[in-house]
Amino acid sequence: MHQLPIEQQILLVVEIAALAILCLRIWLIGLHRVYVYFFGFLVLELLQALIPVLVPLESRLYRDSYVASEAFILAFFALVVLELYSKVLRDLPGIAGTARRYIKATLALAIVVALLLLGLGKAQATVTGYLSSFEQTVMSSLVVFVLLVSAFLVYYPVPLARNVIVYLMGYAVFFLTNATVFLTIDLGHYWNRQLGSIIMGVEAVCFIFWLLALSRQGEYKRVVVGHQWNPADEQKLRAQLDAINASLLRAIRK
Amino acid sequence: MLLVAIAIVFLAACFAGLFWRLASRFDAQQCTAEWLDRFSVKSYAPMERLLDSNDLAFLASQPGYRPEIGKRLMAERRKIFRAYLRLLVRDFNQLIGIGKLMVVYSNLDQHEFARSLGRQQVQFYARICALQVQLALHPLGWTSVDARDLLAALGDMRTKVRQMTSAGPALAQWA
Repeated sequence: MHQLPIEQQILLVVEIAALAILCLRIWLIGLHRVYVYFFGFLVLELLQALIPVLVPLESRLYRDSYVASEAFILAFFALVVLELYSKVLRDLPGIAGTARRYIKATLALAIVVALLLLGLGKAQATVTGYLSSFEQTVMSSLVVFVLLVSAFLVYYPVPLARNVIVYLMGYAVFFLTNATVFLTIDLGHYWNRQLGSIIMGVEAVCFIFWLLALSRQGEYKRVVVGHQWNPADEQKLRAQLDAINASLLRAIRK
Repeated sequence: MLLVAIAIVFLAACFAGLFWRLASRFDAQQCTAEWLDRFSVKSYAPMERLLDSNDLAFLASQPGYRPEIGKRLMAERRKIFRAYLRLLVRDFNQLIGIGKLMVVYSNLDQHEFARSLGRQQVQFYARICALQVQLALHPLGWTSVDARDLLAALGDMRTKVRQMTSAGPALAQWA
């Protein structure tokens, strides 16, 4: 750890503290059962953050540990995003077919965009160089995926728990920053210290944001028209939808 | 690198806009049964005649007519037409909103209806854009400003929303 630049040492301490408290909080409020892959991702991030503390930076062990943990984390990124959207769209049969088709198209487009960006890069022929290219591809595809599926959620009035919006905002910032940094490296700009500090800083901010904004109540609070959803609103909406239904049926029978 | 930076800023702006919209969602409380009962495409019937050149021709045939009178009349009518157009777009969006609510809260998969809604929305907005261009050219002598297609699209949307109700079971039980 003493080999990291001073600002990265500070950021590493902040990141480890934020991650540890976030994992504990998620565990205590029971969200680890709801968002299993997200919790797994946080635990992996915490373990990876501890590597520079325990292993010398210049050693081969550090490189191998980092590469192995990063590969797992990349897999968890994809799982985390799919987990979130499957929860959002799970109990809405009316929109299931549309969502399925849209997500397939979105995935395909995300992969195409990511592969196009890959073509721009000049990857170094090293393990970390290839990892960087792979990360950039995965992150870019996730950015496009999160953007397009968020647009879907804006277009259709799908009831969203407050926690979902908090997750989405965190993911968007997280993936966009990582994609930008890895693309920059891939384009041949090896500003390692500055880019490393940016990634660590943004990640720490995301973890702190999730720590402050996620709550048990956030699973039940539905966001509608910028105010908090409550059971009285829910009953009113049901009554309105039933009344609209009845009104249309009356019109047909005339 | 500059292009990448521009793309990143653009993406960040898109995300910011999307999350702002997510946080201020569609107002389901505006979609009331009373509004639907009151709604009628016939209230837009005057649009079909507002910019009719026959009225201007009749006025021009009257003694004492001056071209300035005709210009002022058509300018006022264009203003009224634009006001009708704004209301028409609002009502169309309201119907689309009801349609989307029905899709989301339906017991059955409404993929075809959702696709039809999306298609109609795109076609409607394209027609609105075309009509706005025609209105802009109207003072220069463009005479074929025709709102009938738009009114037909509005009627179609109303019919589709009705059909959706008659085609399947009532709305989903809220879990």
